[in-house]
Amino acid sequence: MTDILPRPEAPAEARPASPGQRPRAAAQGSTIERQRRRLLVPFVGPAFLFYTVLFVVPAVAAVWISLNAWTGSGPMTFVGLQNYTAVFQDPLYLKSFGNTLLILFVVGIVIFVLAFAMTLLLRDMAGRKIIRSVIFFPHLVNALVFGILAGFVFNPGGLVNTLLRPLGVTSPPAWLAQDNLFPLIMATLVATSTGYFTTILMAAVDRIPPYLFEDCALAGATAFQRLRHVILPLTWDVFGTCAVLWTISSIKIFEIIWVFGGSSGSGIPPTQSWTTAVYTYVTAFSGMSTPAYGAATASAIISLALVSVLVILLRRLMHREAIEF
Amino acid sequence: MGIVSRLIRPLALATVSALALAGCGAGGSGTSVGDSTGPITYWSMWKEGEPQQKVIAGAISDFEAESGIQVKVQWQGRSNTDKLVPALNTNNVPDIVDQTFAKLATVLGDPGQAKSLGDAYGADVEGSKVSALVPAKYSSLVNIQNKDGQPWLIPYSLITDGIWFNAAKHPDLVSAPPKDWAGFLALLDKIKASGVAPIAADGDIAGYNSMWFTTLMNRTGGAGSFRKLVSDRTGASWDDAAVLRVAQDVEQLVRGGYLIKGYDASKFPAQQQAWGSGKADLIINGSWIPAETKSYAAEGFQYSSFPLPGESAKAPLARTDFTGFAVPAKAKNAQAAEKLATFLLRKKYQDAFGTQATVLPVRSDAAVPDALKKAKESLDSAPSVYLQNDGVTYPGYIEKVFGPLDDQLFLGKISSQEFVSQMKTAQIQYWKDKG
Amino acid sequence: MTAPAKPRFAPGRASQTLVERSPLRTVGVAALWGIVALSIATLLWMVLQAFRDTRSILGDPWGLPTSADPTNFIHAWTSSSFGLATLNSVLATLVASAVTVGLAAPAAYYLGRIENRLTGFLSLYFILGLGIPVQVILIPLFVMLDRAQLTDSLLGLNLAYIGLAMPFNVFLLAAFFRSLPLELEEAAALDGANAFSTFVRITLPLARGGLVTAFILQVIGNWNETLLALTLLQSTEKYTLPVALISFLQQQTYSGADWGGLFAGLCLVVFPMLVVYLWLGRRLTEGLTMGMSK
Repeated sequence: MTDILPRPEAPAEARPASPGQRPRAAAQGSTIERQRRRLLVPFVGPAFLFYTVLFVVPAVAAVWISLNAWTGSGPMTFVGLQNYTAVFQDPLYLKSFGNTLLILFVVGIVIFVLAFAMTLLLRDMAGRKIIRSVIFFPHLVNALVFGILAGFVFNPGGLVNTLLRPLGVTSPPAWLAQDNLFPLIMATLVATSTGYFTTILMAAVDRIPPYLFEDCALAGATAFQRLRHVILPLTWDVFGTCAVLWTISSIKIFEIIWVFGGSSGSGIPPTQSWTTAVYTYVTAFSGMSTPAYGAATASAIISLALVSVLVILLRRLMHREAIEF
Repeated sequence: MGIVSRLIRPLALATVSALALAGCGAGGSGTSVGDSTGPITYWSMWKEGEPQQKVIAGAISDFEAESGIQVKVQWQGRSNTDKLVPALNTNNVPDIVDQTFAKLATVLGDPGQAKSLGDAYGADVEGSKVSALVPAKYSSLVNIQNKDGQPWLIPYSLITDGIWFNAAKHPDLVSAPPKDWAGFLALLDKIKASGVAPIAADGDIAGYNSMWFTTLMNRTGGAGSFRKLVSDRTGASWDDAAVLRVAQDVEQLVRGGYLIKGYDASKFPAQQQAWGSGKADLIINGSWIPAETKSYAAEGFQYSSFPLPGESAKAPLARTDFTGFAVPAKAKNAQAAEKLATFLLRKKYQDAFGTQATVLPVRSDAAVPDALKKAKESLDSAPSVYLQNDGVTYPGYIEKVFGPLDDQLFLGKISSQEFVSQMKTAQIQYWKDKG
Repeated sequence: MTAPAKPRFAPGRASQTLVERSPLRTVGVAALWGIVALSIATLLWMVLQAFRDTRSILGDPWGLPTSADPTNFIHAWTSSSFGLATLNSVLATLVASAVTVGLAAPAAYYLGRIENRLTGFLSLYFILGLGIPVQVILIPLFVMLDRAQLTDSLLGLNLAYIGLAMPFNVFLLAAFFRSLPLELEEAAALDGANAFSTFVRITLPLARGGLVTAFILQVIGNWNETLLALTLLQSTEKYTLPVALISFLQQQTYSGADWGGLFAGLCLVVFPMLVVYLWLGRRLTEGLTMGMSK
């Protein structure tokens, strides 16, 4: 069972199997191993308890709610799977789910292509530490800030257009038009997340022994060949972890979309830019119509299920023998 | 209580029994609701420092001195109703909250979580009954009545909407606003010829975009027309030629080039700022717009408004919305809370709303700010009123069905014909899903 | 991994010879510096606007402040009680982050070190939580916390942060502990130390980098967390910074825009993060990568 589900152990599996490092093989029967086993309750217990009470129990309650029609307060009516079928039939949900997939795959691919490109560039570039620090920083900033700045930057009379005017651009693109909003959000996501993953990949690349690069140089390998034959194979496990992290975080992306459309959070963003997380939130908390909490929860659970499947597939796809070096 | 125990029971089976025990003592308090006169808890939609907050804070300190009832206020700001939803599942609810009608309706009114305020409407304020101070055309709206026909909301101020303009620049519009759609178009053409954009609009706010359609719809068929249109489960209502006509009017604004450039690609409040600084002459908006734009309006800007005219000059009616108090059904100090709600209807505070907070007080004899004089006139002269979105709060309908398609119409992406036929399909599907 | 087997050049000289001079590379380098300049300019612009008033910001977004008048900051600090909110944020952030790491570390150690059916299942149990969006559990969580009288309380908010942070921290730290060499622990065991004291005396100090990383990531996450804080806290005196910022933003509807004040508020949200980052940034990025790579 554990084989088909996402496991945190992947980095360990991919680790070079040097003697003494495989806990199971090395520690079988040793006293410290037996002692350690006794630590199960004191060590795992508190974390287990906090997590179960504050996270799992509400999540289980949420599953129950998804089988009911409920306005968030007042009486619940059991409706079975009706919320699920209704959500599946809602073209808006399907569109939102499509957007979630766009973020997951398109933004994901762009982020990792850029991250690898930057890693290549930064490997031996002057000022790499400064650059790495600066591109990482957006990851630390509250999404609200980007939402508010977006208006100033991209409004018809905003910073970008006032810059373009002296350059002779009289009819600049309608940056914030409903149809352009989602691409703009995707670009912002790329800008805020690339630095984070670049940093992780850079550290992985730094662990590659320099002689391998020297061999490449001697053999006259191009940058691409270097990437293909040295960097990618040797950072594959780290890349895999990053890919899973991105998949998981991408379905939860919500705030940035919420603040990009609709008056920085007090209105509802246009449906063109909805993701499943926004769909869930609007269904439950729009403030404009009676909340449908059961349907909202159902939509969240469907997304969760579909993304779990994706993570499993991704891990299968990424699973390769680690290369020792 | 029902849902809480239903929700908690499966949970309690797991590890929460200890947590749940902590709250058990409060379990049976359902019957004693409203008896105590302890301090009342008030979750306010205003933040400290806002003009409305100052008026209400003043009233509360008078109330405490006069009644001896203490008021614990949380100046939470606009998200107070968002916080109310989860709180309603517990015994820890505020005794009184204020918000605009639409928000209160979705969290308290519609789910039946608001206390009936029939008694409070019978109470006496400065010699008049509350039911006399709140004009009947407002209190008789079914939307603020529960299923027993009792009101659950006591408004303290009103919101209306209209076409807003700078009276310093267009003094003629104050005395002679356009009376019908043709007159309105003539005005737009005149402004356009002068080289200024006729209408500013923040196209990213669906609620502003839809004002055009809902207002014109109700102008055509009277208050409740929009509600009737969207309540039709067969969708056949969208085949009506009059509906198409309304959609064509909206389309005309778009195709006629009357809207400010970039209205379809900006972020609120960019376009109302453009209007405030004189880059466009008109804007459709609510009566909050003078207060909202005063910090950047052009020098000498004099706010005034006229109602958006319909096809013909008939059917004088106005949109209104209430900002007011509701008492959650579970409130522990309901009676004291009702007293506070009616206390705000005293002339002194009603005047203060008009003079200090630049809003329309609900009492018709209270002071009205200059900027809202015209809006108040059209509200007073309207024999009937309707609420935001004509009071439609069906789950998801406005946000998921009407809003997105209306946006496309107003942003010029689909024609009126396409709008009407797509609305019909979407509405049939909506009601089918609702079962 | 260490000590490359066949060093052919002295490392310093080698990296010199490796620097290529392709046009693509030149473009890339220029683009990177462009991004750096743009990021710094944006931050600077935001700060400058915080010293201007609404009318002039809207009149000319490129304008500069005429004086270093801190009115906007004072206004934001006092009228929206950003001051108190900052204090609350600091409290919610530090306490929750410290407890989270304190609870997650032993669990992660156990799950990372011992491989059997039970730990496999437990790891999976923790990991599943990574995918669940907060919105789903918001209302049940609220009801539970309220039953325990923990809503509208920073303690309750802290508890919620701790519970919700478990999956990620266990995930991150388990991978980290697994990357630490076993030899030292086994040596300590041979010396007669029991498993617990080995963990405290040997493993924890070794894992400091990972723990600091987890802590800082938690600090960042909690500092910016909005949805839970917005829902769980009702009293203004308990608001955290993002909630105060949202109320400040929403206040613009009905009561008039104050863009200068808003920019001052944004600065208050962003700058503490900048300071933390400048101070601990290197540790953060290094520790982060240690946990994920081997």
